[in-house]
Amino acid sequence: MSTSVVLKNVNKDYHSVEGITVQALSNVTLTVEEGEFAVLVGPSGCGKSTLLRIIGGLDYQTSGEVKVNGRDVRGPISDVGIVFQDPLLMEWRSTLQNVMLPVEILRLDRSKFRPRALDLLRLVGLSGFENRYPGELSGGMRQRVAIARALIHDPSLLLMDEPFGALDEITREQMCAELLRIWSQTGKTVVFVTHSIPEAVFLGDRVIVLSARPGVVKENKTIHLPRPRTGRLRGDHEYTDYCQTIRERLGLVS
Amino acid sequence: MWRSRDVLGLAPAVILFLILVAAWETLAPVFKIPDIILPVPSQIGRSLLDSDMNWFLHIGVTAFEIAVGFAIAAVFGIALAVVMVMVSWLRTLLMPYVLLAQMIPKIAFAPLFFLVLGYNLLSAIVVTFLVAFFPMVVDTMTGLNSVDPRMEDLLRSLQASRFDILRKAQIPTALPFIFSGLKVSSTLAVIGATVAEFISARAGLGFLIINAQVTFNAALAFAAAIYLVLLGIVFYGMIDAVERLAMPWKRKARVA
Repeated sequence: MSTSVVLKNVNKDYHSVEGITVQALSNVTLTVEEGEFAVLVGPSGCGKSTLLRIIGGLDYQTSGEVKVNGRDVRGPISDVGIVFQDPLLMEWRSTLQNVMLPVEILRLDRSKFRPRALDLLRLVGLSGFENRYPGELSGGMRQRVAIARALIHDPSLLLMDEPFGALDEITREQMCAELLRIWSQTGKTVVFVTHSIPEAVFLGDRVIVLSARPGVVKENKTIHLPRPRTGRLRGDHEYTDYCQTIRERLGLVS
Repeated sequence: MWRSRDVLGLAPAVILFLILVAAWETLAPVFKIPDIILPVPSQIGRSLLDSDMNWFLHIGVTAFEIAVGFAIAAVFGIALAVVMVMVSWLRTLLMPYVLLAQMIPKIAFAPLFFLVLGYNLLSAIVVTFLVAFFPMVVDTMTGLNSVDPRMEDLLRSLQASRFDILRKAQIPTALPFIFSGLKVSSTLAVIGATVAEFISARAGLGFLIINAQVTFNAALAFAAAIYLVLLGIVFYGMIDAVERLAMPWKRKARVA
């Protein structure tokens, strides 16, 4: 198995208007293996979104090394699919057209990708909604469209920035289970950012705990829970033990 | 395109209008208001339908000035906004002028255009264009700049070009702003054409109003003004209809 993402001593500083330098990330070193589901968890302001943006080439590290699929990241890379907290759908495009957006931007053959888009919509459970506008969909459905859109150009790496953060708890748990099903069927590498500890443990092969200001890797824990994981897992004490360990690393258990 | 419920919703307003017109018609003679000050509705009605008036010509001339002036304002306004949003040095250069022009009462300069360009249809069109132009620029720019920055990130992550972002995100996002600009602009175009005709014209509804004033024909002035109102409504209605066609997603109901 080869390595998908390599971060070596990554630092990120921000310069505020007042001239103060804020350290967002400090010496972050981690690797994500191909096909792995890695979860970054940490409080608000720990720089986890920044880290994700740096991996996706939307932001630059102040120092350190960032590699995706063995190549230095020097700008946006199209081998990546991104899902943000907000589904960011274009309200003037139908569901299918929204999924097809990356195909248009990357100037790929539309007729070749259309069946794939329909397959993906089936995969995310939105068959029959191809011609609906985002305004006609629920929050969970919109995020499903965003996931299908992130997968359409068949990127090897999926970056997810708190994708279920705006959903209600029930929809959120459903979407987590759905995401694992989609992941198991597509075999993508996933880097998933969340501030929910149970979500991190439920989803991840590995949970990377970041502390706040500056973001430092506090823990890099492999989650040895069997797959496929379903809602039943949430009652297991192995699962709750993992959650508790991570809480401890975040200083929540005193 | 309009649902019957919308039409029925207008009924109370129409009934009120009819009552007011009837009251005006019956009360004006009672209070002995002279015709040259306030003609009664029936006189205005006669003037509206007066076959000696050559209404077609006058309405046609004014409609032409409005249509051409407005169309140029719309096309150039949108184009200038796009250019200014895309090219930052042009924005820096031209934005102060756009803002200044917003504040200038353009009507005040209208007679100058007639002096420079001659007392003809062209001057009337230029005045109409100028009055209608600036809201178009400002509204379009606002719309083009209102794309969610995270949407730009998403597009950038796909290595979208500046032009891709304009075409796929900025222009569709700007559409509602552009249409509200067009509506404001069309109303202003009616004012522009009318004022231009006040200054100098050989035909047109504004020309008729000025003529009616000189000849103390208040009924004619009213009739011309009513045709102007109708022209304005027709232009506005056409834009509204195009807007509904251009943005079908706005019509769909939200379920969540």
